Amino acid sequence: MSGVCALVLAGGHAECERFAGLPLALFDVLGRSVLMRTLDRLRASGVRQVAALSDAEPLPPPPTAAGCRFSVAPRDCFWSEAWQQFRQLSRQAESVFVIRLGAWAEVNYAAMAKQHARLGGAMLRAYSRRGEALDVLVVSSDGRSEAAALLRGELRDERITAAPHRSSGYVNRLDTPASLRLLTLDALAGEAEIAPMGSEMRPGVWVGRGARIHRGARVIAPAFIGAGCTVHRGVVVTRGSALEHHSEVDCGSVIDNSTLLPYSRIGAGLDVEQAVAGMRVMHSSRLNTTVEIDDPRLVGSTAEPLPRRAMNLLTGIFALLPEALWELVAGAHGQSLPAREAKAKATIGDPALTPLESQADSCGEMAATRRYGNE
Amino acid sequence: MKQARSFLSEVRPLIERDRPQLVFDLSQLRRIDSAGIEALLFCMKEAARRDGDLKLAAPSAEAQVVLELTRTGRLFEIYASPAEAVRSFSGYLPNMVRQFHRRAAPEGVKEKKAS
Repeated sequence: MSGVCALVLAGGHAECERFAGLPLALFDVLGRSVLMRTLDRLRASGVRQVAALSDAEPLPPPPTAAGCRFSVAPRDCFWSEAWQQFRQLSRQAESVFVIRLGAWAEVNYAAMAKQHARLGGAMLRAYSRRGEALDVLVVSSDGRSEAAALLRGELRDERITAAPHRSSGYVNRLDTPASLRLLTLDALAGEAEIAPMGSEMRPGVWVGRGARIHRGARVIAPAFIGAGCTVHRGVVVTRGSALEHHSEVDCGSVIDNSTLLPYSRIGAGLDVEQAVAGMRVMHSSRLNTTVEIDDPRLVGSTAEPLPRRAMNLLTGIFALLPEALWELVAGAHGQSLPAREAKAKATIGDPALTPLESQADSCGEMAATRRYGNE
Repeated sequence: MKQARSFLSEVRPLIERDRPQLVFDLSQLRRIDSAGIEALLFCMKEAARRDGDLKLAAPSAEAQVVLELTRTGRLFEIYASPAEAVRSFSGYLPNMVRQFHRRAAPEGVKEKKAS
C-alpha cells in the first residue's frame, strides 16, 4: 500500500466513551491499548506513515512506534488540530486513512485501500456487518474540501457522501466501560483478533513479563495478568478477568469478570465483580454505574509517589488500632469504654433483658445467622 | 474519616438506647469510603449488642457499588424504601424478649406468636 498514510484520532466525542477522563481507546486490552493495536494493524497492512492524535495524555508508556507521530490536543481544538494533521499527511500520500477510536473495528485496511484506488472517488467509508457506519474512512489527498467538511462535522456529517466498504470483521463500539470489558472477554474467547501480551502459562491463563503471583492465589482460566502485576495471597482471579500492567491486588480479594486498569491497586478483602476499576474510579456493569472512590484502601493507584503510599499505609495501620484506643485518641464523648457500657446497662435496667455476651460481640456470627434466617 | 466520626457522634445517642431499631436511608448518599463502611458496621454491631437492629433503605447506586465491593452488603438487611424497612421492624420481636416471655409465662400457656 504505497502512498497511503493514516490519521488515527482517539477521543473528540461524547463523555460516555471515556473512563476517568480518558478515551477508552487509550486503555489497555490484554496488555496493549486499542490505539496501539490499531497502529499495529495499520503497519501490518503496509501503512508506514501514521499520525495519532488524542485529546488526553495517555497512560505511560506513551504510544511509540516506527513511523508514528503522536500528539495531544485540547478537546476544544481537537478537530481543528486533526485538520492540520490531515493537511500535513495529504502532502505525503495519495490517500489518507482517517480512523477515529471510537470503535475497535477489525477492518481489512489493505482491501479498503485497494477498493478506494479502484473506485477512485473522494471518500470511502467502512460499514460493519450490521450496516452501521464506522469512523473508518479513506480520503483522497486531492479531496481536501471534502476532508475539511468531514473533520469539521466530526466525521458524522451525514450530508457528506462516501462510497461504502463492507467489513465482515469484528466490531466493538467501545462506547461505554462495559464495552471495554466485553472486548476483553471477546479477546480471551478468541472472537476478536487481539492477542494477549504475555505467555500462556496454563491453558487460558496469560501472564506478562515480571508479574508476581503468590502461590496461595488462584487464577482460573480464562484470565490475563499483565506485566509487572502483583497478586497477593488468597486472591482469586476468575471468569475472564484481566489485570492490566502494574496493577496490584491485595490479600484475599476476588476479581470476578472484571478488568483492572493499568497501575490500579485493589485493597485487601474486596469483591470486584463485573466491573472496570482503576484510577480511583469503578464502573459496575451490573448496576451500570460509575463511582469515584477516593480511598486507597479500596481502589488506589500503584503509580502514587512513595511518601503518599507510606502515608496511606500508616492510615491503614491506624484504622486497625483497638476501638478503645481509637476512642481515647479521638476523645469521643470523653468517656472510657467501661463507663459507657455501665451506662448502657443502667439504661436497659431489667437484668432479664441484658443482651447475652455471646450474641453481642461478633459481627461474623451475626452475618452467618442472617444468611440462614432473619432471627 | 472525619465525616465518619462526626456521623458516628450524631447517631451515637440513637444507638445507645435500649433495643435500638434503626433505618438508615442511603438514597442521598453520593460518596462513601472504607471509614463510612466501618461506621455502618460499628452502628450495626452496637445495635445488635443492645438487642436491636440496623437496616438500610434505598441505597443509591454509589452506595450499592461500595457495599458490594467491601462485601458488607450481605451483612445488612437492605430494603427498597425507608417505609418498607420500618414496616419490617413491626413484625420483629427480639429473641431476648421472647425468652423473657417464655420464662414469665406459666406452664401450659403457649407463647403468642408475633404477627
